Amino acid sequence: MLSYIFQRLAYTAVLLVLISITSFVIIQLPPGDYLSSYIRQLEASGQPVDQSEIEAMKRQYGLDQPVAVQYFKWVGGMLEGDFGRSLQWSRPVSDLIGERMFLTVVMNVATLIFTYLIAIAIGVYSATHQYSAADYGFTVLGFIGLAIPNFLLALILMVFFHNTFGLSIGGLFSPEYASAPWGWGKMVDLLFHLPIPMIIIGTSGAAGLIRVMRGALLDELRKQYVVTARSKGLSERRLLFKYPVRVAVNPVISTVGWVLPGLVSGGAITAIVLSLPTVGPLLFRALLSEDMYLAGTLILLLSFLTIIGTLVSDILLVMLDPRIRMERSSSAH
Amino acid sequence: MRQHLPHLLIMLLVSCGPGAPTETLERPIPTGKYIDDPMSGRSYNLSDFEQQSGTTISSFSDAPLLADRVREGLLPSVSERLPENPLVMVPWEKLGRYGGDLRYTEFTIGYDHYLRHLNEAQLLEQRPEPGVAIYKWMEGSVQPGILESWSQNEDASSFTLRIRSGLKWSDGIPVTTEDVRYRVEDVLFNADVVPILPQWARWGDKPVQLHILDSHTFELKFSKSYGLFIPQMIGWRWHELMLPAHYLKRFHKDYTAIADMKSLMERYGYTESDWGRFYLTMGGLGQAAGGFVPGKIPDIGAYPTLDPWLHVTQPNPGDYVLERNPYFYKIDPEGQQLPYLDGLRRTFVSDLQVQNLKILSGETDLQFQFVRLSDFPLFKRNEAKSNYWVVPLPAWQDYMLIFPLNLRPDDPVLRPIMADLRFRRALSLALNRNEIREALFLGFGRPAQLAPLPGSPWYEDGFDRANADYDTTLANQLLDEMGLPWDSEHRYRIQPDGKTLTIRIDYYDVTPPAGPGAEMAATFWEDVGIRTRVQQVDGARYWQLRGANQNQVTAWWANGAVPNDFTFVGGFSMTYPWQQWHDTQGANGQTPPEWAQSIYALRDTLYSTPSETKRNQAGTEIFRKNAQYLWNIGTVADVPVPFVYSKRLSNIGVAEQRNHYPITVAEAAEQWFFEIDE
Repeated sequence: MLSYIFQRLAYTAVLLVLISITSFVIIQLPPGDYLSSYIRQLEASGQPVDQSEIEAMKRQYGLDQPVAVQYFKWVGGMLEGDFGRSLQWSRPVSDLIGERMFLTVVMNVATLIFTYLIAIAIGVYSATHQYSAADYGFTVLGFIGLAIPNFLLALILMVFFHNTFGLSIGGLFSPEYASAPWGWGKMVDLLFHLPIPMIIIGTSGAAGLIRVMRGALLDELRKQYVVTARSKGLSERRLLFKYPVRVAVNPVISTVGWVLPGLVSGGAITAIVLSLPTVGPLLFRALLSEDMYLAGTLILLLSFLTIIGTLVSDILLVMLDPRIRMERSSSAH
Repeated sequence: MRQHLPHLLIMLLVSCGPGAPTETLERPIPTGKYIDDPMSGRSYNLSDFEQQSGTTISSFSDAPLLADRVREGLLPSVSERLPENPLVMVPWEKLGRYGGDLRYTEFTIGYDHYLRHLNEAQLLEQRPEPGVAIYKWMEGSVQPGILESWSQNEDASSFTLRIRSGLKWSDGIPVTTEDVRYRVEDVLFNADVVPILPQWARWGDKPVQLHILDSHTFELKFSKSYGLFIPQMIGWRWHELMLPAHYLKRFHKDYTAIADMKSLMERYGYTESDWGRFYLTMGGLGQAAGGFVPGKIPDIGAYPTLDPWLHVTQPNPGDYVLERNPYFYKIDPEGQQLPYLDGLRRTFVSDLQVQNLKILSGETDLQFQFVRLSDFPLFKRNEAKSNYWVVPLPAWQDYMLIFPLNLRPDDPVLRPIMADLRFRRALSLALNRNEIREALFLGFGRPAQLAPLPGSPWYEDGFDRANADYDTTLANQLLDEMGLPWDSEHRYRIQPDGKTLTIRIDYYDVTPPAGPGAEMAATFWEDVGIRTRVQQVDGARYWQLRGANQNQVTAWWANGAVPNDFTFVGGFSMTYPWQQWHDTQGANGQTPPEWAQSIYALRDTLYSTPSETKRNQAGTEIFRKNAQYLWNIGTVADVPVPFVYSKRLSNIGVAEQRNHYPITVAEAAEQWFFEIDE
């Protein structure tokens, strides 16, 4: 098991190098560079940009150097813990990501817990009460959750919370707390703002998981060991949670691989619409304006988390499901 | 439609919310001491003001915020901070009171389209008048700004400029010609920092010469006549001609040894050989006010400026907080130091819809950039119960939808067709401008060809009506004459090579009506047998197409109906081979026809002649040519944009009756103030 993990980690290092090159190149594939998008922005606002200013900016941002030089500068710095400076924000990439990381993780963990709680609870209920009124009700709700685009739901909830609770529009804090240091007031304020993204991102995620959970559990409940256990007089509750739920939760666990990067960049569209100070919108904007150091670092981070997440889910599955074995059978191939 | 769905929804939800509007509330007619005063809105040197108004300003006063600091000994008194010759700004409506922070939202990173106007101290200013705006035409009246006086020699090749005496940087250090010398000799002429000189500084193909005459007076000398220099200079922020040398020399290798800067350079990731990049990163070239923002300028709070407000903190990434500059050089007619508002607060939003919701919920005091005309009814409906007024002010662009044409496209079949004036006339005549006006501009504006607005110096009767009538009969007749016959189904016309006559409109989201406008134009052009494909492209892709001469028609806004808009009116940006020919002085590109070459000649006159009359004649000629040769097709003139401002804000309301552009209003932000809360 340990050697397997080390082997996987070694692959990861190679993979990351390849990803860093690909992402750096792909970000620069669209015509133009960060400057051309910046200049277009200025021109759209009617501010003419003199060629002299463009040349000076090129020099300032190092865009007059070849891509290879830019790449090695970035990677070289990374080995020393310097991820470069964002062109858009003119700030170190590590600062930009760092200051958003806490709120991002708080928001996404809250969403994740919310998602799993309702998905597993409703999934179990729907499976055990198949074709009941409540099952149909949840099914309809689930499909609505899947079908409504997140941005739309975000706008509706934002208006609803504003009209009903007088919550400020957008962001995770009211204006008076936005720049305040952390304290009770700010915590409470955050708790009031958190439900909106939680519900929006949670519903769409939960809707899918409910179906998966319900389907898998229904399969299990029809199996003979369940019937046997029931005939032996096991209580319904114990019967349900001892094996079928554990087995049915399997497909849910195998998605953990995507959960980890999701913790960082999850709900980007919702976060954009809600103007949340999280990482998702940061990545979106960095890609749009070809801010290659910021976008490259974020993509690298997400790739890293995906790889680790997959590893973790593989290990979890082994631990939860005795049917999965690590050793290769000699008779295979 | 996808864009409109959430929008409709918001309208629905908001109007269903508590307190749906039942009454309509009329915006009160602005009143005040200065409204009918001819001096209203103008700026004067102190002595000129006293002479012209017959009053004297005997003492100065300042905001309580600053007065407190004076009492605590943190600041010198207001009379010591103000220049000896402060600039008197006469309010638009009435004298103001101090205090309050102005809140607004922006969704741009590393740039600010509001501060660009609200917080820019200019070398020379333009008198607020309808139809003129900085970075549009500059022929409006010049008034003093940071420079208290200016003069030019007879052939307009030498300009003598004088810095306001006693003017101080925001850290209290006096501004002198050393700051000008540093800007020109040590920065502008330093190839490590400025690889190529800006156009103005190499006018006549020789670098501009700077002569320092005394501590406050300097002369700029060009190798040939540059009659447009002063008009062009209106609206330049101070950094174009002066930089706080006492502050920036610590980053300049001529004044500070590289070894002493080394640790700082390393902190920003530069090696010793990267001095030029380092210096630029520290803001050593200065930035227009829109780009002079936290992040773009490191340690921005320490960077001395001349602007009305100073950056103090950045509570969240993208949010800015600004506070009044204690050394700002303007006063009101009672001697109160401006600005009236204590500060500005920007909130970063990531989406236009969030901005709209913030307006509706009263969480912003001012929005006028990128506010869409299509949202005007939404704002108007909620005006009564909310805390804002919304007024339609003329867009500085004058035309929010024009169709610039490529007159020499690469396509060999289309090339003679686009070059044929009859074809371009047919395109223009086939447009039902009234329908465009109703559908895209809510009935605002008037159908017109791209032409100067009435009242401007280049206006002539008829320019705006040239080929601007909706006349499909004439359009068809012209196309028939060209030998473009209908196909057998009488649906489309046939090109000389036997294929269906097809043109393409490529657009990107420069102007909100670009997409729907292009779609409408397509249906009108199809009516006269021209098959039209509409294609939305990425901005970078568009310029790539244009560089390869693959573009045909595009949808854009005008940069103002002015002859010195060299993108559309005074040039052929969309006909790349011609522009190339002009830029390389005939070495590359394709030689334009005689009439088009004359545009370039007129443009030279516009730049160089010292005579205003000749300049205006040249401008008129350029528009006459556009009316005749139609390299841009105009649609609707005088289109407004919504200007949203807090009901508590004063000295803005009169803008509507004076027909000012929103940016003109924003340029006068120093005299805005909050009325006392009721």
